[in-house]
Formats: sequence, structure tokens, C-alpha cells
Amino acid sequence: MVETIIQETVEELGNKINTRIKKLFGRSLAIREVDAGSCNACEVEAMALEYPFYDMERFGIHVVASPRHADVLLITGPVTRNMELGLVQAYKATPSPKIVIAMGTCAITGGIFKDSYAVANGVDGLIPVDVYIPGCPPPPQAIMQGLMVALDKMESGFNASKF
Amino acid sequence: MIYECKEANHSMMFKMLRNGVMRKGIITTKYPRERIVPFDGDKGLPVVSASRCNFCAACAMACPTGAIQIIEQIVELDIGACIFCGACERACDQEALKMSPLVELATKKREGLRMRY
Repeated sequence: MVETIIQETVEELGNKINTRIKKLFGRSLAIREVDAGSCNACEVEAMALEYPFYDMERFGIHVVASPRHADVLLITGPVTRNMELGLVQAYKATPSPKIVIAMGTCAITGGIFKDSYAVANGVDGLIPVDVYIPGCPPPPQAIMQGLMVALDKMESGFNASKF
Repeated sequence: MIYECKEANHSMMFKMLRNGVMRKGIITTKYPRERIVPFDGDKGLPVVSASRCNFCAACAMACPTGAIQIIEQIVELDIGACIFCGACERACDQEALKMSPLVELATKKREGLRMRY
């Protein structure tokens, strides 16, 4: 149909991410996944990055258990009313400099849940977002590309106005 | 007697294997160095061909999240609202709108997710 769009193999892309992370941090990149009312499709795709095919631990990308240990917040879901406070608290608990990634259509605009009485129509209205990864859900390759874009943003300098 | 027979069979089999009866060249894959090829049914970025589109707005009406807007002969597509369901492709009579396998769409700016055709 259309020529193969994805040019790089997982190995090439991962090694590129690895060298950039090592140069920027001198250690691994810590990601905290925040589920703000997601349908779990995005979680399944993010979890696929941990499975042997992608295995992002070998490229120096860790998923950590607390926002206090994290450099990157990976937010999924259309921020439900019950999760609004939790999300803001997770954002405030993350040590600066931090990067916020809105993953999936729900986290960007609310997606299929848009204008429902129970959701806040995406992460945008609550906390500043640095990288948007569209997709419903975005496949693991797209998440890796999103991390590349996040590293671009880190290299160009963090926003000083952030607390 | 039976035991001898079995042994004879085994030695035959080993001889055949040594001569390369079951060899078929390299049958392993280049895991994980193989390229990821999208499946036929995979849905990615919807692409509109401007020459075929007659701006009937069937796609905009079919879209469950209101991601497609048609403003004065321009199809504006918000990837941030698109759920890649393919309802627009099915609604299009002119076959102007097609789902491409492009999935790597991450951007730094919200404006970068708005496509205009």
C-alpha cells in the first residue's frame, strides 16, 4: 500500500535514545506512569515496551514507583474528576526539571470522553504539557518516538518558569 | 531384534542429517534487528487527497469525536482528537480519505497536531 514509514529498527532507535540519555543525565531516565482514568489500552501499550521485543530497560529507560523518583511523567487518560487532585499532586511531587508527556488522544483532548460531566478534557487545562503523543492507543514505536521528542526538548533547555 | 531395528533407523537418520537432508538455509529471523512492518489493517494518520475530495463533509459527520472540520475548501484534521477508528474512511464516497500506516506523530506543540489539507 504505502511504503514502510518506520525506517529504524527497535535496536537502532533504542541505541540512539540510550546515547542521548547517557549524554544528558549520565544515568538512566526514570518514568512515572500516571493513570488519570484511562481505559488501560495505553497502559497495555506502555507495558509492551517492557516486554522482550522492545525491552526498554536495556536502553536506560526505567519505570519507577513514585513521582519523587521520576524525570518524566507519562500521563494517560482523560483526567477524571476524582483524579484531578491526584494528578496535580503527582506533578508537584516530581522534582524539577521535569517533562510531562500526554499520551493518547484522551490525555490530549479528552477523546471519546470529551465534554462528559466526569472528565476535565485532557491534561492541558491542569498542568503544562511538554510532549503530545496522539494515538488511540499509540503503539510502542510511537511512544519511543515521543520519548525522542521529549529528549529533544530537554536538550534545548528546560523551561525556567516552571516551579 | 526390534531394538536392533530401532538403532539401525537412528544411525540412518543421523547419516541423513549429516548429509544435510533437513537443511533449508537460514531459518532464524534477525530478532530484534528486524524492521517493524505495519499490518494491512493497521490504522494511522488519515490522509486526504485534495484532488479527489469534493468537500461533502460526510467524514466530518461520521467522526465520533469531531476531529474533522471543513472550513472553506480546507479539511482540518485534529490528530489530538482523532481516535483512528476509520469511520471517516468508510463514510467517504470519493475514496479521498485513506488511513495511512504512519503512527509516529508525537509533537512538542499542540498546534503541530492540527493537519490541513
